[in-house]
Amino acid sequence: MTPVLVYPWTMDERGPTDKTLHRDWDADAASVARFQAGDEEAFEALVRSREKEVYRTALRILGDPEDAMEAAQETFIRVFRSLKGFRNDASFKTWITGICINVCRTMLSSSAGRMKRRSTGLIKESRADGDDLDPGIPDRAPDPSSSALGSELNAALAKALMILSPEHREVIVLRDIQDLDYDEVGEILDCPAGTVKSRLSRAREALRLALEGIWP
Amino acid sequence: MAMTCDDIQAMLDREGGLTTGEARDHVHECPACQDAWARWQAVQRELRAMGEEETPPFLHTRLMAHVQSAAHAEQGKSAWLFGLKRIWAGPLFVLFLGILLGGFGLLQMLKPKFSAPPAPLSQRQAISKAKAGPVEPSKDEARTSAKAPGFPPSELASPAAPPEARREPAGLAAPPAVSEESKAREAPSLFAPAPAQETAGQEPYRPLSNRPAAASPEGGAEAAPDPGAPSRAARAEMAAPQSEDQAPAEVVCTLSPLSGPGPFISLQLPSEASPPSGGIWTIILSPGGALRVQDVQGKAVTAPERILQEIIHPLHIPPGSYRLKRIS
Repeated sequence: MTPVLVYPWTMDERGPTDKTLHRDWDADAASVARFQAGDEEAFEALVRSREKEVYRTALRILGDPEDAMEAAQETFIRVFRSLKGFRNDASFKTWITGICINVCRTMLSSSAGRMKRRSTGLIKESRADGDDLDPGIPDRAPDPSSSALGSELNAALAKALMILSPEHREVIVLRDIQDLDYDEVGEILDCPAGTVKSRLSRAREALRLALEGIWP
Repeated sequence: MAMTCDDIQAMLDREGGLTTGEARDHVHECPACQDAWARWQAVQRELRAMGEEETPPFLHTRLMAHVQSAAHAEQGKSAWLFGLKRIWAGPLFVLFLGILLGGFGLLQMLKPKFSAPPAPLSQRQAISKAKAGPVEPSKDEARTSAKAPGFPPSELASPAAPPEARREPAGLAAPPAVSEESKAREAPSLFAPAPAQETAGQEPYRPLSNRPAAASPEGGAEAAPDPGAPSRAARAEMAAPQSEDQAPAEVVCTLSPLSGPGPFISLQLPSEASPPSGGIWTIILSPGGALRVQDVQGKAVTAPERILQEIIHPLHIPPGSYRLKRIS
């Protein structure tokens, strides 16, 4: 049997180049400066620059498109309210992602959100296909048919992510989905990079174990 | 020491890839780890793909609409607050000032009401007399007063007062049931106390001139007419029946200019500061402040200081000649 080896060995080469990063940083900083100078139209450029990341982050943490839209809206409203006091010595990207994470945490911890998720999980549990991972775990994965990649693995990953604890889910989303580096993740989660690494290691292990029951 | 499959898996979880040659050698030789490695790579690709997923249509439009709506709501709220502050600051301040002054005025009105001693029975009896037989000023008296030029109209009567207020003593001719019109006629008079609401069982405040002499030791300075004092007719309604053997401590008099047009002023005065029953005193107040009081025979009255204390000072009577007639 010929082993299938896929290079590169590490995943560090993915993601935007430094040039792209700097370009985004500069564009965001310019928009922030314009907004802080009184040009409120600059805020639209910021929304356009970060809306997809914010929505995807919220979607993978909350697991529901409607909740993700609500979280994205709340995130940008909070950004709009506090952008005047934002200092450009920090990255706008990590700042807005941190706000999004906080919004998602609030939504997850709200009793209404829990009730909603629980009821949705019960409805899905009664489906005829019966391939849910765990009857006690709400299935909030997006419909695979609506996904661009729509693969079996995609659906399984979506389910497995929702099995993880919010803490593990956050670090997986930020590092493996949003492709932020350790320092950025640490800045967002307000913890050192070493903590991020150890938490990410545990989160990947948990994800792998969760996938074993879903994606053989 | 060679790496185990568990070490490979831990490296994948921890490092996100095969970071050492030893690990790559193990995977190259271990089918299970090759499978795990391939699986791990697929998961990572899929996770990365999740970061590039399509977003809902009109995401930008919906977000901007929501943000703009919230921003407008906040601007409207702040504008409303700002506008409220700017537009209503003046009127609110005036309203506040009005309430403050009104409250102060009310306190000033209520303060003597609670502190004034109850009127003695003799006062009530005197008023009751007036009620039982209201004395109309004679036609001569009215004629005299209409001719008397003593009081400056601007000081003695309000411009709003109807002509009847100048011709008739407002309080004296009032029937026991006082009409609103007669009260209104009383109110504008500079001298006559303004009508006030009285409640049953509540002793009306009486100006110093109406109190017993012992109650006003300081004299004229405190004897200013009280605007909240009840009308005489109202007080008369409260008066108790009088016994004939009691002498009235207070009597009802009219004050009018000796010559020229001018209003009658009804007064309640201590009996010692008023003419004898049915009598008339002439009061002459010089511009220098000298006071002379004489009866109809031209005899000087012995107690002009009481006149000063009870009438001249409290009512701010201007210099001139006046007639004080006792009618009860």
